[in-house]
Amino acid sequence: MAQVNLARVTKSFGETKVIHGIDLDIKSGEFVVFVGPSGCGKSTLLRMIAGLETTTSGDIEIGSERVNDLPPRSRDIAMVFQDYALYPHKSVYENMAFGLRLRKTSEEEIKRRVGDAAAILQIEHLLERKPRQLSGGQRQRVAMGRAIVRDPKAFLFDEPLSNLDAQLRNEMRTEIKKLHARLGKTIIYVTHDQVEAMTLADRIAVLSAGKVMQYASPDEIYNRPAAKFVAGFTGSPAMNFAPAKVSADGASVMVAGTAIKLGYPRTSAGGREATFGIRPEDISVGAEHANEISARVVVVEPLGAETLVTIAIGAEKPVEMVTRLSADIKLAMGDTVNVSFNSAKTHLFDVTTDMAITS
Amino acid sequence: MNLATMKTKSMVMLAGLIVVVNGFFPAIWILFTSLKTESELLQFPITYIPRDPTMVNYYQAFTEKPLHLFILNSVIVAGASTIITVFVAALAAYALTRLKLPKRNLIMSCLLAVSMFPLISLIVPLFQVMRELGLLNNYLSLILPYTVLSLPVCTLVMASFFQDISPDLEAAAMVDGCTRVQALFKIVMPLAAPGVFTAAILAFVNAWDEFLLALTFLSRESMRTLSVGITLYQGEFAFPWPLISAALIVAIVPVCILIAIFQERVVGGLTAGGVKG
Repeated sequence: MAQVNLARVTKSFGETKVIHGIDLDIKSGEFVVFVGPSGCGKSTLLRMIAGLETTTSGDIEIGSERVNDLPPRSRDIAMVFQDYALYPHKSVYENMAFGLRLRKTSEEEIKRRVGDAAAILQIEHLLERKPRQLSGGQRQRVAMGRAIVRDPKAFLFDEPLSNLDAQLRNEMRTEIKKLHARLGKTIIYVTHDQVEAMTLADRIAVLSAGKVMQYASPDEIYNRPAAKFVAGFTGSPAMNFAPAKVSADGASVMVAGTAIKLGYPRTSAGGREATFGIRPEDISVGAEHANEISARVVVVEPLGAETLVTIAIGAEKPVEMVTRLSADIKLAMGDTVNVSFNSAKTHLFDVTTDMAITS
Repeated sequence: MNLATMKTKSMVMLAGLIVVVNGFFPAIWILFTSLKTESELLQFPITYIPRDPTMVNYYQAFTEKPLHLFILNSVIVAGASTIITVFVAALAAYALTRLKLPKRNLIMSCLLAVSMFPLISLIVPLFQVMRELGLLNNYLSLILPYTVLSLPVCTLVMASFFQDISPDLEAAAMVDGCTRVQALFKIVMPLAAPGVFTAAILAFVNAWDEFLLALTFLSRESMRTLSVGITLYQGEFAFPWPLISAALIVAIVPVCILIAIFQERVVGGLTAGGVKG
């Protein structure tokens, strides 16, 4: 087990800078997820930690040792790849044993370690097969097995579930979480799926355009997003945004001609334009919260357990917002309903910097 | 099966048969000639299949000239140049497909251009170089040029195979504990085996068949390779066809055996890699 530290890490491909001075501290045994849209640099950052990409500047430390100049084999990390990267000409056993053989581990020890890892992942019956004879889920297990047998300082996962179907992805996600609990190793996991990030991580680093927008616990990321990008990236459906005018005392905002009270005053933004944000589940039908206003139902999308309802507020320039309601509440397109906003869960973002306004 | 399909199928079969017969006819003719006596060969009307097959020509081929030495020389020259070619071409192909090289396409085009050089244009400068280096009548005088001449095609063949192998496999190998070169030889090369075998066969056959350089650089009889040695059976006034045919069969057989052994992989090698599977 080891902590991983990144200090002012940058990466450029020629003239193009793709990683812009990232600082991250990952505690020993922590499960950290890098999440962000395609092209945000999350996989590049992971490959830099693995040593598969060079670091243009800054320091990468694994277990308090600076590893910038060390090749991947000397960093004592194991990696699980998106396309599994199992050696097609080797059996499952040989795939798992390969790293140990290179380290001159005794045959007896290899057999024991491969056996143990296979037992943990329930792949003992697959050891003699070639990768082509395995299903996607089985291949993923073997790839994890290959990482486990090495007993490295840290595990790196590069979008390991993105090639699996939805059901298998959920199963494997649970498996990975169990595995982390069992092994207690440091894990750095890259994904573009915010559900994976929220469910797996101790801490999430949300990346955009080569920068860390926020590095915090899933709860903090979800409930106190530091930027509009973070707020919009997490949650499904995403947070509702609307242009707003903050009152002079900063206690409320005007959205589509309707006044909405904020949870606490943002005096720093008093009298200015801002972006108002609220998550779908924080808008209720009826007077559950303060801020009760009239809205028109635009779209109703029943999901079984719950219903997504798109409402329009305001008369002149209506603003559409998605709400997540109980399936018991029956609404039809065109209905007029009274909705209320949970003031405590309202968010405000600067229109120029997109950063959260918190005071 | 309807009539039109049957007709098409028979036409294709016929075309295939013509190609096969056309390809095999000279070899079969040489084989039959090698089993005939001089008198049977010259008699009229011609006998196509030997009436009284004899192995005496094979015996004489080995006793009249040091055919075993010619074979040994060819094996040494072709074998060594093949091994070096495959090794160097693997490294070059790997660099061309995996490293972020500037002007990569220009390098590939130059490689292709080099493989088009006519041998005759190289022979004079090469002779001077070999003489200066004191390599005349030395195996290296053939091994080095054969390697250089086979390298471009072998590099291009291997590069097309390496391109189809996921770079993540090498990344996984390097994380597992390999150096980049170990990843190439332990992971990439076994996966590109059809390409490696194809390149090896191409290099071997090129070296085995080559005549001009072998004639020029190895003038001592004991150093002659098969392709040149066979011409030595020809006398000033006599042309012992059965004897030469026997020597030719001896020259053809090793290549045929080699290709037969690796046929499946070579066919895969020549057809795969061109399109992504």
